[in-house]
Amino acid sequence: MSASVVALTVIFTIILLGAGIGFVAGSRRKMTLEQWTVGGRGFGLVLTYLLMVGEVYTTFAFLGSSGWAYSRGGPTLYIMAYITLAYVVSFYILPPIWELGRAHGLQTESDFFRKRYDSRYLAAFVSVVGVAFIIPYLQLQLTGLGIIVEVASFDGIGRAPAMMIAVALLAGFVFASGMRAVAWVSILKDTLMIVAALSIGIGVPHIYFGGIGPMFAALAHAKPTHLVMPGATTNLGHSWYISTVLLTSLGFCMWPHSFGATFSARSSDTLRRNAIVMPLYTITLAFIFFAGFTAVLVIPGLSDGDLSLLTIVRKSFPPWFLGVIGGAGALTAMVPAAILILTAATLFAKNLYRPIFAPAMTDDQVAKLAKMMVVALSLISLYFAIYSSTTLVSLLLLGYAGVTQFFPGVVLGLYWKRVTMAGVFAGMIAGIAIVAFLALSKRDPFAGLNAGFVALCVNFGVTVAGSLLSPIQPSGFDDG
Amino acid sequence: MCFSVSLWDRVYPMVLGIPFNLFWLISWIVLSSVCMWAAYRLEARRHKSGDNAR
Repeated sequence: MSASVVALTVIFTIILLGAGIGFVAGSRRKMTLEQWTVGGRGFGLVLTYLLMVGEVYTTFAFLGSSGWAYSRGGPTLYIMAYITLAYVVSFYILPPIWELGRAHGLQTESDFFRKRYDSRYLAAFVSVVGVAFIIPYLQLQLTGLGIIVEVASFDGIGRAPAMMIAVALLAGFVFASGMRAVAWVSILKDTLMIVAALSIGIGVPHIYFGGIGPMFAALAHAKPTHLVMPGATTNLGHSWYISTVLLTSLGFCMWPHSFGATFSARSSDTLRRNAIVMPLYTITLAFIFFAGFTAVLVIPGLSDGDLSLLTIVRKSFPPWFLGVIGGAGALTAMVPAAILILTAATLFAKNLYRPIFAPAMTDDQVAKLAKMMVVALSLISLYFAIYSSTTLVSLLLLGYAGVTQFFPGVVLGLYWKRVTMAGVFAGMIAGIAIVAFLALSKRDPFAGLNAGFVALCVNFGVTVAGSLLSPIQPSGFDDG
Repeated sequence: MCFSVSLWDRVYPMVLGIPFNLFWLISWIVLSSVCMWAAYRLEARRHKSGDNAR
């Protein structure tokens, strides 16, 4: 058997194993809308943990972070800082959100906005923005899957056909399973991910330099500026780092899928204990960075940094091991992608289409529409994945710039009685407009700051000013 | 806090063979977990003295 057949066989075996776990976990329950989207609101510590790990450690962490360690260097460190701080933020804001969710039967982030500000149009706008910025995140996962098959097939299968296969598998999986199944597949995904991270993070530097310490010594000697900010870039310095860490740690819980996952937990205590444990998992990311940094010296000159991790694995290990790493990577793309698609499809059907266009729809019809959206969203992301080329990290940062614009509306909605629907709506529109303008005109970073952070500051200002100028509005959470 | 970045964003001194900035961030991952755990315990104790449910 040729090397590519061995690697691809191992990858597909792992994917099938994951899908098998999903089907078994999902098949024993009747799929109502609530069961499909929030798993019936009964996830204990273990399942909540699995779901949250499942959606956080995506192919962004796997291929994207090593890709930036390779091509950008120092600025990549923002990833370790932001995930840790994000859990500190979640420790304080998720438990009250969960309490409100239980009291008012909330399933999605848009439900939160509709109930708090009593406006289905604001809720619909949140859904549109949420779905729009989930697409780059989905595109990231599909691109990652494409890269894995491309490298594992020794460039025998092109990236576009690989992504088409991946999309078909993914849509089938989401269709049949639902949120609970996805959480269970995370067990396999994260076990493999830890094994992969440790073995390549320790193994690769050992093979070429005799250890992690000597590898860093050699890199610091050969490229003294690569390991500090701005690394290999000119515009990603300290002010960019600070603004990006703030933006992304505040925005972390604002992703519609993270916000929605909150409602799957059994109690608010579960969420607090999760926040304590989760940062420790981030340490595995350091090992993935090690592989990316090693690749700088061993395989210089790759045109696409996102290929660096798998290329160096392919160069250093036998094909079956490339298959194991590729399979781990494929699941780290598919599990989060399934969660993203489920969330976006539900938002579209439940919070956008039904309240605005067809108020008479039943829950069953909404579930049917959501399943149709699964197919539509997969195809849209596939289109973008085939026709655009940016780094995986840049895609995620674009998504963050968008979803973090929900932050003022959520946090002021929780803690400030005076905030009004008009203020939040105006602030959000201002924020999204600035993100769109700066991103499309390629002005990110803007004046050394992350463009999304600039937009967030304006958004906060407009929200507060607009709220004070508009008449007092009681919170929708107060009337029981 | 956030303006301290230029103080720790350096390669040397390396700690355990890891550049100082990376080591600094890894330490804070562990410290953040410890701090949240402490906050959680403090809060739990306050709840306990409030009612005897737990």
